[in-house]
Amino acid sequence: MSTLETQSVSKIYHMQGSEIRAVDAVSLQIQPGEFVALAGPSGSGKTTMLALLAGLLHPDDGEVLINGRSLRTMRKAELAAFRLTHIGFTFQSNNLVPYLTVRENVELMLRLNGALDQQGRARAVELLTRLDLGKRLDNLPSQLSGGQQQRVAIARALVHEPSIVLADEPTASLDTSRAHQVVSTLANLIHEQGRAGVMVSHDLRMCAYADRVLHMEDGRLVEEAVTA
Amino acid sequence: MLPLYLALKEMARNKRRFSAVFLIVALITLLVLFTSALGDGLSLGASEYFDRMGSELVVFQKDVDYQLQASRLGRSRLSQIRRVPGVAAVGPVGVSTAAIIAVNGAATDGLDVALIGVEPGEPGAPAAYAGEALNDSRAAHAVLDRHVVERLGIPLGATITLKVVQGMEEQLYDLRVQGFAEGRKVNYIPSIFVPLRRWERIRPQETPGGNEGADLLFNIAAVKLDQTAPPDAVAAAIERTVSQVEVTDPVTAYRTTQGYNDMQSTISMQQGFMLLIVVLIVGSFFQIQTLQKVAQIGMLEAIGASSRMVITTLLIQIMITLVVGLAIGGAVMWAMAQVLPATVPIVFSGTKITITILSLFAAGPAAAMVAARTILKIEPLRALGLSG
Ligand SMILES: Nc1ncnc2c1ncn2[C@@H]1O[C@H](COP(=O)(O)OP(=O)(O)OP(=O)(O)O)[C@@H](O)[C@H]1O
Ligand SMILES: [Mg+2]
Repeated sequence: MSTLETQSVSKIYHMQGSEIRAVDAVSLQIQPGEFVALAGPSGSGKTTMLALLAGLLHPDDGEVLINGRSLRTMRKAELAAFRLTHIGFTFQSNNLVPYLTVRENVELMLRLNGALDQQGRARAVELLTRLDLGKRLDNLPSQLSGGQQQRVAIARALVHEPSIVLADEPTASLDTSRAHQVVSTLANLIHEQGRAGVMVSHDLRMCAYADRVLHMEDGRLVEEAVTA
Repeated sequence: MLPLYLALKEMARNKRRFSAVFLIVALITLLVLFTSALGDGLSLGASEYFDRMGSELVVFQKDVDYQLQASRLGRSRLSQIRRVPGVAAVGPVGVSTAAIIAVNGAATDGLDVALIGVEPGEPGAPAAYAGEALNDSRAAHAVLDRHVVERLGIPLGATITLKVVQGMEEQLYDLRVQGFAEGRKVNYIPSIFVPLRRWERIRPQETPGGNEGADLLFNIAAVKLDQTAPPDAVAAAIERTVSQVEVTDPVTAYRTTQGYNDMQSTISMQQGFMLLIVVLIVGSFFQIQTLQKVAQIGMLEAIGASSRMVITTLLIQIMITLVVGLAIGGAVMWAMAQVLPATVPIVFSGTKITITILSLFAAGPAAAMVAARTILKIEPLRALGLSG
């Protein structure tokens, strides 16, 4: 069974009579331990796709299945609880709670899950250390660079051991060498821990770390390039 | 508990911002409660004497519209009233004005007072919280109300000198201060009480020193009833059996005095408006504060925080803000009340304080909820950069 699967999923926005097919009949399957890149030009529907995968948007058509379970029948509170345990998320911006330190931001994910224990704390520090933030544990987000904030978000997306990790442009605010380091760490963690990872990026060099690259254009998957 | 943790963390890491917020809530509380207390203090000046009269009924001369100074009653009325079934005691009350010009021989600025003549031990005579109540029906003794005591700093046993206009002349009379009574303003001026026989001689009148032997005249009569007597029925009985009188209760007596209702409605309107405006300010304040957290709330929702968790966090923080703000405001108000000169009348009404506090506690969270509902609907998507 795939960790993550979509069956001809579509999202249509209606704008003054015209309709925008932001995601258009996309079917995909992602296995445990597989790291997939979602590439494509701006406006091609990548973020919308992530929102569908996370259950933040309801598809107008088709199905999203996580660990074989359809999101369609879940209600809002149920979806929130489901996201909390099964999904790790990083956003294009506004990733962190501004008044919590780096460590607290990562631990928040465990607190939300009601699972903050010794092991969890240790895992948070370990992840942050691997992401090169071992010395910034007690800094506030405002004291970090954009790239450092992205890395904190990555640690938060992994700390509760979700089956799926969704990352929207995690390298957008990083310089090239830092970007390589972050994405390779993310790829390693996903592979090691057997999670299903989806990373949005239009930087093809970053896509090199993915097992597969899915190209989107105008809401459709146009081709599938296998890199590894 | 996660919401409490988040609420406190945010406050701890934004101490300066939240101190400002506390201060604003405190100042607003202070503003409402203080203006309200001033208004009530003002209106007390019209009602205090009757409020503290301690008798169930007040007898006026007929057709004077309960005007204290216009009403005239004679001694013969007293015994007639006393005979009405249900009446336990009747006391004559004479009201005029004088000025205290000296205390123990030392000149004062001249404090205008209501000079009230009462029969010692009878209704209308005040109890003393210090010293003794009046007990000699002729002596040159006086009981001062708290306002007079505080304004002039008069000690018990002091001699005060009154200036009174009688005929064409100013007369001075010395009185010994025998006791202090609670505040009993009449028409906004503080009062001193003397035995009616003494009052008869020293009150402003045509003949200096009064007319010995003339029928004793006073303004109103205070009536205490037997415990079981129904006030309305006794009032009606008095009006039936005693000619040319009108009977009412003390509250009606001041409510119907000229200008009282106008003033009262102005004060109430002011208090109401103030509360309304403040509730709106506090409401929009918290609404704005909540809307500023859009990005953060959206992100929390997107990673899976429940709406309930987010809302509880907001509410806890608003409650803490209001409690701390109200506490500071209340403390400052209390301190101000202590240092304010006795000439500024302030009265704290428990009901109004409660209403104010409850309104603030309703407005803050309600406004935040309105804001939060909008945010929770659209923001998880906005956290992703989708406009929603
Ligand atoms: N709420 C909305 N209403 C209408 N159209 C929308 C809405 N949200 C997104 N769209 C449209 O859907 C399409 C896909 O948007 P999306 O944000 O998913 O693109 P993207 O691939 O993530 O782009 P980028 O690389 O710039 O982040 C775009 O054409 C966008 O304008
Ligand atoms: Mg996007």
